Amino acid sequence: MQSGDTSGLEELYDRYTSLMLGVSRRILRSDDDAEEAVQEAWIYAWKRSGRFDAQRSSVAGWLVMIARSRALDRYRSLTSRRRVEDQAPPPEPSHGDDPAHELHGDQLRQHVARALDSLDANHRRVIETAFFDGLSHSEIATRFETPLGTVKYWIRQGLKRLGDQLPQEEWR
Amino acid sequence: MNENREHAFLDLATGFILGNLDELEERRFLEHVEAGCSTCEEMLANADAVRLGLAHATPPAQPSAQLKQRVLEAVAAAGPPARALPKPARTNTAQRWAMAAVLILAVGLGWYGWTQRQRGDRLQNDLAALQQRLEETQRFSDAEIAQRDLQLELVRDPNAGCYEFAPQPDAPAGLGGKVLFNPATRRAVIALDNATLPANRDYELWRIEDGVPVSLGVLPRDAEGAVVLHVADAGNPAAFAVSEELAGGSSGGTPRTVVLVAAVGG
Repeated sequence: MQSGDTSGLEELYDRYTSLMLGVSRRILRSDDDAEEAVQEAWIYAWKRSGRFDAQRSSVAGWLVMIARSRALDRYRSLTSRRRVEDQAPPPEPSHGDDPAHELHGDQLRQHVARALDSLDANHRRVIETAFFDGLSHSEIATRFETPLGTVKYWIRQGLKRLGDQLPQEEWR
Repeated sequence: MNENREHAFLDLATGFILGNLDELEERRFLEHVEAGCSTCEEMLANADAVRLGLAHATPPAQPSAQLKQRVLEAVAAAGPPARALPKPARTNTAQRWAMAAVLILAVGLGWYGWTQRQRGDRLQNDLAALQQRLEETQRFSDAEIAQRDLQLELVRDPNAGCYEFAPQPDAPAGLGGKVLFNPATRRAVIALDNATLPANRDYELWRIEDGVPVSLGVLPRDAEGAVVLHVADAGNPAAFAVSEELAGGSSGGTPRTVVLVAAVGG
């Protein structure tokens, strides 16, 4: 992609868009908005492919963070929508056509689920809020009416445990 | 102080992993890691796995066929990826800074040549570069000329001294500057470079007298980070300091995070 090769882009698109779209749907709770955010994410990634640093992130990780960022930007700009956790349930998951990929994905998701389940409930809650709602430590402290220092501690402890539990090399 | 600094960077580390740092914070954090912090580097080692783990915790989603077509069309319209960031265009603000800085450095060069000869080569290079920029400037408004005249009057005064700001541990890379101060008239001119901040932060100027910091106000913002401030009454300080504050400046009357310090007469 950095060389301007659109065939390379297509390969990356086919491999990672479902993951990027899943994150966007979790944030925006709308198929249409999520697709708009993912479209913006791919354009952003294409234009800034020269900035990708393989020392700091995998391609998948880099793309996921771009999609997350675009989704959060879109969410914040949608002032006409109110995102209440119980109000608009996330769309039902949809599935692709590659059974092998599906199987690998299912196994990975099970591994991730076990890792997340191993976290203290509070640690998990603040980490997911920080990641999917884009809230700062102080904003999380306000939302959950919890001291700021406690939130920071929960996040540190949760990330450390999550990092220890998750595989380092199985991501595609 | 070390414990507080360590905690500050650990919070930046978690913020970085979860993608919640602004551009300035991210830059500072990565500079901190690249300077060699094993603790933060160890945290970063799991960053990719954590991010992808959270992503995989969401149900997968099949994109519509139209999305791929839209993406490919948009990419084709965008052209080849950018290789380097474009240089920012020069503005009048930068030109005014260049003008003031040339004046300060023109006198400062003389002062440094007398007081600190070992800095002469560096300042001469600065002066040459700034003189070139000054030659490229447009006509200035009457107000700007009046300000320049006041600054010239200040810099020509033999009582004035030129003092360089020393970056503190929390200072962003590249932030620096000088203060020209006349204790007889109590007037000062502050010139900073690379003083860019996100919208939710401001730099604030302080004078330090008898160990007590007194605010001289929030510094003006400049898109290129070239800040010049003329202070009519800077008191009789032992030092000047610049701190990074939340937008609007300090609410408690004391600096939040000191990033620059210039000792007067030192």
